[in-house]
Amino acid sequence: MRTLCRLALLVTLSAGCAPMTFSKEASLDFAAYPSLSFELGGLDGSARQSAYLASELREHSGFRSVIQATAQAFEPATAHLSVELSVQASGDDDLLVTLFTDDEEREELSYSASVSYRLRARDGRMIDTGGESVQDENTFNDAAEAALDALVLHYLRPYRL
Amino acid sequence: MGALPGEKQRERARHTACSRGLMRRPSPSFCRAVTLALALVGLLCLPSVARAEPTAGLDVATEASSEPDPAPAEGAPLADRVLGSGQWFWLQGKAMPGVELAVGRGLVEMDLELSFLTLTESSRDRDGSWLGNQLGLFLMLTPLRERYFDVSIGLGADLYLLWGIHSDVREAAFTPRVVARLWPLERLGVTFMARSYLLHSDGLDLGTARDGSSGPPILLSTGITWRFF
Repeated sequence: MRTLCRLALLVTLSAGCAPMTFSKEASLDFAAYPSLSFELGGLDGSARQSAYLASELREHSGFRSVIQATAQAFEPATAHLSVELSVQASGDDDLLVTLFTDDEEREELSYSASVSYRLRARDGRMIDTGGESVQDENTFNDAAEAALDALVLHYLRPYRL
Repeated sequence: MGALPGEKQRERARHTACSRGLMRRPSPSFCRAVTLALALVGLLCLPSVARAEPTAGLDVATEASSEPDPAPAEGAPLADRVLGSGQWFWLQGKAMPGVELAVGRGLVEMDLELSFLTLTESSRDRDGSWLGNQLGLFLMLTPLRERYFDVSIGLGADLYLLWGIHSDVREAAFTPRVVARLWPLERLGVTFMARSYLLHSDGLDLGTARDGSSGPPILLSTGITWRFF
């Protein structure tokens, strides 16, 4: 017992409070591209999903400013992100089946979603490209938002905490 | 995609709350992990109930028999001890209180941990202090088990779900762990734990401070433990 106590004391004294760090490196040089304009397209890129993506990018990404690109707007952004979103219900290739199922049947469906994205500099140079996908989500919106979350995660603001 | 006005309002409120960091949506993997953990604990705590219904003929035979009844083994729970702890992890610049549930039988014990992680030092990378949760799952062996103390060693995993940063940010580590418990009272004990991260994901570093300086790569925690049975 005495040996055990000495051992515990030794470990405590030698270790004390341990430092532990959570970190994430930046996926691109956010200092070089501080502002972003984006457009969300694809079959399932609705206004609702665009608003969600804008909100999440503003909250979590490393870009200092995020705006939605519109045809009329002057775009001073240093980078432009094109996003294509598609959502699919499992076992249903036919969109009509998804739309006309009742709530009870819809609960049995699972949804998958994918986004592909291309980030270009103001001069048209390609900076970054890729895709993300999610599966087994309960609703259409959950799947769409989870896929967009994965995109936001890619452009997450770097941290060291 | 038409939505009722009330529904729209609720959705807008949810987005507002999310964007302000007030409300985080738990990910499905977190829900699955918690459900699995609870199911495993329940499985270990439940008494075995697979007692066969006796037939009329066997009843007579059983009543007439003078052999000892093997029933106690059948009705015994799978676990011979269940412990609950409140604990504190000793970390630089972070506060990490948590709870632990330990379920064991004989030499083997399974431990589940849930902790809450916040920053205690301000950071230029974040406005808020809330980081998220730690989930731990360990399979332990208890070679020393006396009235006043027990010592366990084991392996497991620490999973950090950093909701405070982003709902999908997770870090994980493969973790050997040593636990020593002192029992000054029969049901109330003091717990000391030490663990290290042998393998870990890229974004998690035990033993390295925010400024890059290094420290001991051993995470200590102490707690108060209650023995339920």
